[in-house]
Amino acid sequence: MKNPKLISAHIVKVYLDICLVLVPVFLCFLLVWTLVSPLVMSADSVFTDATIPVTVGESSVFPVLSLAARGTEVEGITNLNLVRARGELRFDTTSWGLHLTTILPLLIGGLLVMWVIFLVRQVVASVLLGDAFTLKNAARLRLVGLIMLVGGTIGPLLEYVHAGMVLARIGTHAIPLSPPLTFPTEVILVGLLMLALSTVFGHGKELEDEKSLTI
Amino acid sequence: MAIYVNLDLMLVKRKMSLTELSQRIGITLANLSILKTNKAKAVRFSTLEALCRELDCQPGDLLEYSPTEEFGGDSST
Repeated sequence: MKNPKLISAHIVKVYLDICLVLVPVFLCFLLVWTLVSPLVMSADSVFTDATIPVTVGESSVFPVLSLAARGTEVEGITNLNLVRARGELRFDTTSWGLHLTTILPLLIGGLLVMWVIFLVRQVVASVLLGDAFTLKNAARLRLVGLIMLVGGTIGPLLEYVHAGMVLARIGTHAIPLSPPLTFPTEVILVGLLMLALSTVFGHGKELEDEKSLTI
Repeated sequence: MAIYVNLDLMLVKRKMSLTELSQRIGITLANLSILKTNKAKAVRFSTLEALCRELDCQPGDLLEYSPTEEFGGDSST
């Protein structure tokens, strides 16, 4: 290894290389199976383990389910609420369309993750070549930041709409279920950090130009 | 940039080639070429000292300020 300081960058690159092989293989398998399944499966076949995110209770943002009203009164306890309970609703369906709507978010999310991995890998590769501060890298990091910001804000909204539509179709029974509306704070923060980092890389490029043109 | 490096004129006066100067002061031909074509953004004192020593001149003989003209490629900085 030429530069021991870059060991961590080498490890990151190997990790990203592995991800860049495994993620597309998984996505391709998922896509091909989803597209081919209605052709190879018989009419009464069941698509298993279709999953949507749900919250337990009436509200999406702060779901509350009163357990006291369900005959679980305990002596000395005046109120009993299940709050912010979130999980996944897993069901089997014979409808390929319904099955497809639960696969699509996974495919879109997977593609975005693959795009981010690809861009970050290119940045890491340029760091290993000793050419980190370039306008291309600044643009790549800006793009990663924007993808994370868009994915972190629009993604949950789409998930909310999608889960709401599926829940409206299948209905809820004994327990009231609602589509969840949670924004992944860490993804949005990392997206903002990437945007800030892209500005740093742009400034680094200016400094490097100045350094290389100082004789 | 309104600063012009008179290196080519001094080389003609001293009848010295750029290659010879680069060997004498230990600066690469590529960097001297950047200086000669006024693409440099800054000159180190050590470089200026070496140039003045080998060309037997003063810094003022090498640098010229012309507020009305723009030399080199980048005028933004």
